[in-house]
Amino acid sequence: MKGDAVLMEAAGVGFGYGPRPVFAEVTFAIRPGELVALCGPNGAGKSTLLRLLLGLHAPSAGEVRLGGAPVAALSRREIARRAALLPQEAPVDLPLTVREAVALGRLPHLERFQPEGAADAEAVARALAATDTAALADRPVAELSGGERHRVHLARALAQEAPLLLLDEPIAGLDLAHQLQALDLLRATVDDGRGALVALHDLSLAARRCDRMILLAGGRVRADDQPAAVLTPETLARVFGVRAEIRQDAHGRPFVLPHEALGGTGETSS
Amino acid sequence: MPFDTAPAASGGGRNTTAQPAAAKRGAARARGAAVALGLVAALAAAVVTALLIGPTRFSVAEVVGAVGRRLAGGAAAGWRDTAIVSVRLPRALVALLVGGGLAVAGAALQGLFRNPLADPGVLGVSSGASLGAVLAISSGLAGRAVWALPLAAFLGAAADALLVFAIAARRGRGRLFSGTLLLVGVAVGALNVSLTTFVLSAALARYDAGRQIVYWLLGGLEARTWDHVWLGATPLLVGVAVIAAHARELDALLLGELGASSVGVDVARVRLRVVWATALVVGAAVAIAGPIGFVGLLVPHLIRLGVGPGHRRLLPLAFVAGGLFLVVADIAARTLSVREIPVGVVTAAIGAPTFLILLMRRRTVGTVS
Repeated sequence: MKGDAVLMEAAGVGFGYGPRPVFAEVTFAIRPGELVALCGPNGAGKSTLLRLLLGLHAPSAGEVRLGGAPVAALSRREIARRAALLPQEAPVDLPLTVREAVALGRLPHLERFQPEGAADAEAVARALAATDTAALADRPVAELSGGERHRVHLARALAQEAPLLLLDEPIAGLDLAHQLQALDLLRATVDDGRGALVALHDLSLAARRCDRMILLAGGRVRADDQPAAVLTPETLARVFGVRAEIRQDAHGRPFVLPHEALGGTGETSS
Repeated sequence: MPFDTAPAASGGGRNTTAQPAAAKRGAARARGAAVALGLVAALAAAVVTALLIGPTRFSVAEVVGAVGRRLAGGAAAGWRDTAIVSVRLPRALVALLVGGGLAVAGAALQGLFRNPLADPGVLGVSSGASLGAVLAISSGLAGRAVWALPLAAFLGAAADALLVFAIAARRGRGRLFSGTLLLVGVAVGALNVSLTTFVLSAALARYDAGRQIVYWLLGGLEARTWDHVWLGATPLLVGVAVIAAHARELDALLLGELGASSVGVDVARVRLRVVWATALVVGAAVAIAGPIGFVGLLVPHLIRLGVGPGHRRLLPLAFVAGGLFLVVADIAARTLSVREIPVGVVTAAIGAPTFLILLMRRRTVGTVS
């Protein structure tokens, strides 16, 4: 994969379940080194968009390209070598050991009867080390705490070694320290030359760690820019239906101080 | 970071990142190998025992001689040879194939549906096979050729699988969803049972046909011949091979559908292939042995206790252990009483209490495949 190539491109993408449109004319791209937050109110279609980018839903309009190729023309294995998804809900009762679970990330790189080789063992070891789960390697996933389990699933996505990471609410349910660690880990991964699109609810955390924020609401992309440009009181009122202040921390980065819900949830997705 | 520091300390070996972990993994692998060796040895011993024990007792030398003469292409030397090679050997092989096949089918379905209680019966395939077999008996077809009954049972299984898939796929607009598949399987299975019972009630007027049907429905291995072996072996082993070839995908499905998709598994395609392969195995098994319960439910659970849920170890070991279980159960069926007990009764009598004990020690069975 060329270093300067666009990892993922959505061009005029529309989608609906049956006749009800979820979103339309979604256009954006992700390049290596970019950590992009995907934000929006509940029901905006963030999870649906992530699945669509992975070719699990067919768009009703437009096209998704992964590493330059239309996603519709790629096999699941080819897609998995270009993009790894961390789903919002991972099974809690996974009956595998941590190492076995992380090794599943190597699947798209292995032929049907090909045994795992040194390169696979190294990728798994790197992912375990990066997520600080190496010490847990031989424990059953089902016995881990929520935070540990979460890091294991992240390690699985990393072991896949796809240039693009798609993460659906990866820090939901984590305590503050683990939220920051998870985002720092993503930051470090992306700084190594990958790209990531992360669905996030916490706008302040998104603003602290991400290069760009995409706001998805009312079936459209409402904003796609640097956090400071996206986060304004007007946008928050319009998109999220909240009265909020935007302040700046000592480093000049914006953070959100929410005051009250404005009644209704901003724009509806009709 | 241990990954960066350990190799330097241990002289640059990159795979020696964490010694204790490597040792632990080595121990797990050694345990898997020990379980495998033990099971294979036990299976070989059980098959030999099955040839030795019966109304007539044979010596090991006689058994080896008879099988050797047969393998060398020679004619059977007298009725004793015939009893070993044409009566006991095919019966033991049918037990081995059917037990192994049902265990692999059960393991695959439990993994596919992420449900520890999935068993080869849930798709309705085995009851479809039973219906086919019962129709063959009551119509008198079964009496004309030894292969007529297994063939009818197999056709019943195939028709049933087609029906279940067609309804499930129609409801899912072309996609097969686990829940729908199970519900349709249960409903079609119930229909099969009612039709089977109807055929049976109609046949009861004729003593012989009714008795034959009842006996067949209990699941038995009496009077199994080489025809049964050859008829069942090909579809059963093809199905087992297809399932085994998807071991990694079955592992990935433990991550859930979305997780499996993310690592490159075409979930719909894998589900279709594995479910068809399972239908093939179960259809063939019921065709040559009748409906035999608890092998597909119990054996995979026991193997998981020994070697964990990874399908690349689980599936081959389940085949060996399932074969062992049924060969042993059949020895018991032949020897426990003067009159032979149907082997399905033996498997249920062993299987149900064992499964209940596992259930009460909840931790072990609760973890989904």
